[in-house]
Amino acid sequence: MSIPGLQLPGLSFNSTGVDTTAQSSLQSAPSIRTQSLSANTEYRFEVPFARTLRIKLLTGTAELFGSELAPGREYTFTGLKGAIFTYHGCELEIYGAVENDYVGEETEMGVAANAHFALDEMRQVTATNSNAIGPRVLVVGPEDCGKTSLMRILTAYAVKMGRQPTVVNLNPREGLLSVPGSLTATTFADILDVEEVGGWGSSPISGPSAVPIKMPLVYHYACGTPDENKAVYKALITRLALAVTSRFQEDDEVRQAGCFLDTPGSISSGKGGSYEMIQHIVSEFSVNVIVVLGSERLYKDMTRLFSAGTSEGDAPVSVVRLAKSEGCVERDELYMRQLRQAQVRNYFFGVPSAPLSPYTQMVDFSQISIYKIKSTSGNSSSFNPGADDDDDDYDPSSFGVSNIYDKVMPSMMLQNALLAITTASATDSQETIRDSSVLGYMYVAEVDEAKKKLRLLSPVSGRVPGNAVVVGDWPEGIMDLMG
Amino acid sequence: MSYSALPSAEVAQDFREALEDLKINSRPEISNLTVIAKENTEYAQAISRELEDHIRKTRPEFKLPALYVLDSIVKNVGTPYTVYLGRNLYSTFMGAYTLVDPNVRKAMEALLKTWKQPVPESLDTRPVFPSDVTRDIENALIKARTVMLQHQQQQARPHKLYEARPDQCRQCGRRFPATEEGKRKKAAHMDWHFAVNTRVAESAKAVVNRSWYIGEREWIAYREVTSDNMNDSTNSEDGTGSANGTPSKAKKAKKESVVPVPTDVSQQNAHCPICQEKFDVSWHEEMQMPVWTNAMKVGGRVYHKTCYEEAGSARNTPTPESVLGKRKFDGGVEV
Repeated sequence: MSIPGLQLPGLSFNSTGVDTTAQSSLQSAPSIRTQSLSANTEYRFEVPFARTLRIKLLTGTAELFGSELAPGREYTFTGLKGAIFTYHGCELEIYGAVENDYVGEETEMGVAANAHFALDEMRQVTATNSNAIGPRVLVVGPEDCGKTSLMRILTAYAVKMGRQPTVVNLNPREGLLSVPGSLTATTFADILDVEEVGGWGSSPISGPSAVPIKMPLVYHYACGTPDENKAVYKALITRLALAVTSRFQEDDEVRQAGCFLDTPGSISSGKGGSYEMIQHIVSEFSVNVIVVLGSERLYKDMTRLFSAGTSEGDAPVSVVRLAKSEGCVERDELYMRQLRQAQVRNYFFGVPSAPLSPYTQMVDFSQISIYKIKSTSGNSSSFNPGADDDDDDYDPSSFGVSNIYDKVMPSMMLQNALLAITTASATDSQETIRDSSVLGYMYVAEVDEAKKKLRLLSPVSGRVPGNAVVVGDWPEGIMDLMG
Repeated sequence: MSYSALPSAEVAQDFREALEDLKINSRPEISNLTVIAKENTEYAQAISRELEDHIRKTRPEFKLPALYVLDSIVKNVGTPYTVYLGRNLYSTFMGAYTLVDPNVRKAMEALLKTWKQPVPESLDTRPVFPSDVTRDIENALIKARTVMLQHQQQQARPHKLYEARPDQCRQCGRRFPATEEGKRKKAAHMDWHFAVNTRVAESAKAVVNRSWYIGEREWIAYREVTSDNMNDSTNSEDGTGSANGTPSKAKKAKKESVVPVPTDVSQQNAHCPICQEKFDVSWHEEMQMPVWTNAMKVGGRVYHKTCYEEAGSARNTPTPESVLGKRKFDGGVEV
């Protein structure tokens, strides 16, 4: 089994060719070098997947997306486009292959820090009022404008000041402490793990973890964009808001810190002058701060919609526009696909420094109840012969079924698919299945149609739960997961 | 008219002097000032001016009590004070708002909210101040908050993130303030690192896998365990409590009785055979798995610990089984 990231840089290349464009610059053997940074500058770099970069802070202070690096400790990064910023100046020791690295003088850290202190002032006020909830901050903007990076900085700063902010990921394009296609809520009370895929940390594992684990609540949407099934996407937002609000009511520390909401770029496009999803999120989470990154038009639209004329009794919404960071880079489709694969691989196999061992097991077709999310956007002609076959069968349980899922029998279509094991029972209504959180994920390593058996990769050993299983076209099948 | 000019000045002076003594939120003093205003409505203009001047000039920490005087007068007396004070309410309110600290701002926002409504228990259904007066202030507040967020100072403010927390953990980079509490937390944090490192070394060859995620109810009931609050939450005496499972001796002192939630889904909704209620689920830090709390397993069945003990004491002659159960489960956990 080859796990990208374990290879030594400059010594071997994965024949499946993860990264052809950068090979020329990577051919030369990497050397240890020292990089000096003056105060308020940042070192920007890109590490391809299947490469590693090691960085050690020699002197001064340095932070990666708001998380401070410990002096003298070696950090290892893979598949990362990042920036190490210093308030006081620093010296870094760097070893490994990087692309496009340079020192940025114009950084937006001051802007992020000011936003943090303004939010923290709002939190201080809530600390003295036993009913007030900390700021509910919605971050919007086009794709690749730095929304998630900003949230990581604001989260890391809040944690540093002893707060416990809750981070809600509404972007199915990439996961947060889980796989792509999931929507999650996680409270952060201790430092983020910058070396983990995504840079947030790790969800619970059965062994010790050098950085405290994070505890996400996970729902599965199974589509890549909100448009593919708006009704389900909206229902999951409502569900997440309910959970987060309930947590606020019971947990003072979490209530005072408020929450950050990350969103996919597509809901900010304002197609047809509509911001349907943003309005839904603002209302469900009682958002009182909207941070617009970049786009001036979006800022004006948000101001018009939310900062004036809020209905009676509603708290006013502050709309703030922050400049897009100079360090922001576009992430092409190849990179995004690798990132999604890395997230799925990370779920089952962990990271090289803390590898995990998943289990494989055989399951009869009859043992597993699979619900495939319907695509309701534009043309719903997603080619799916597996599901079509079943439609010919009379299934009494699917009588009068809503527009959420198709119940499907396992078929070759499931090869390499990711299955979300929900907490709902296989006989629950489709609405209940939709609204149920996820217990975990399994990967279909093999479909044996003759024997009517699936070979599944499971994070935990033991019997496969008989719960309802949700599947969709997202994330796309992952070919080389099993190495 | 010299006849009325004198009392006007006198009343105003009395009122001003009483105001200048008002330094805390004191109900008797505020009532007294309200009575002066109420008994001298013919001098309402002069009194209103004194009040506005005082709110403008007094030190920020005395502004809120003075604003409470304004509130008390307009609610208890009403016209003509609402007219006089309403005229300059925007500048009176916003002038104070920009100078006071966040907590007072919050109190002022609450005050403004009541001015948009009728006086409680009054027959008059109109708001305390006309809505056009309060609306202008509200809009200004939204703007002020937005500006506060948007405000881009030239120099960043890393001080609170760095210098205010000078004591840094060299293993993970976390910082602690140089206070007694900071020292205590750092010590707990370092103990945590030690315990985790020990455990990582011990379990170097152990097979580790990802755990199932917790469910909605457990997530809502879950309280974050950090590397510095372990001692509080797991009640460990030796300071080696851990989010990621430390040697279970840390659990010794804890009178806790939990049973792991069965992995077999069909059994996950089991009821206590005594009270027929379901079990409460929570996440067990050391075992790294969801558990039923207040639960004990006796003869292959799981009971609420309290139900089982109550049933036992009702019989008053504990069966050997229940004695065994107590002895076995009081100490901790059966896995």
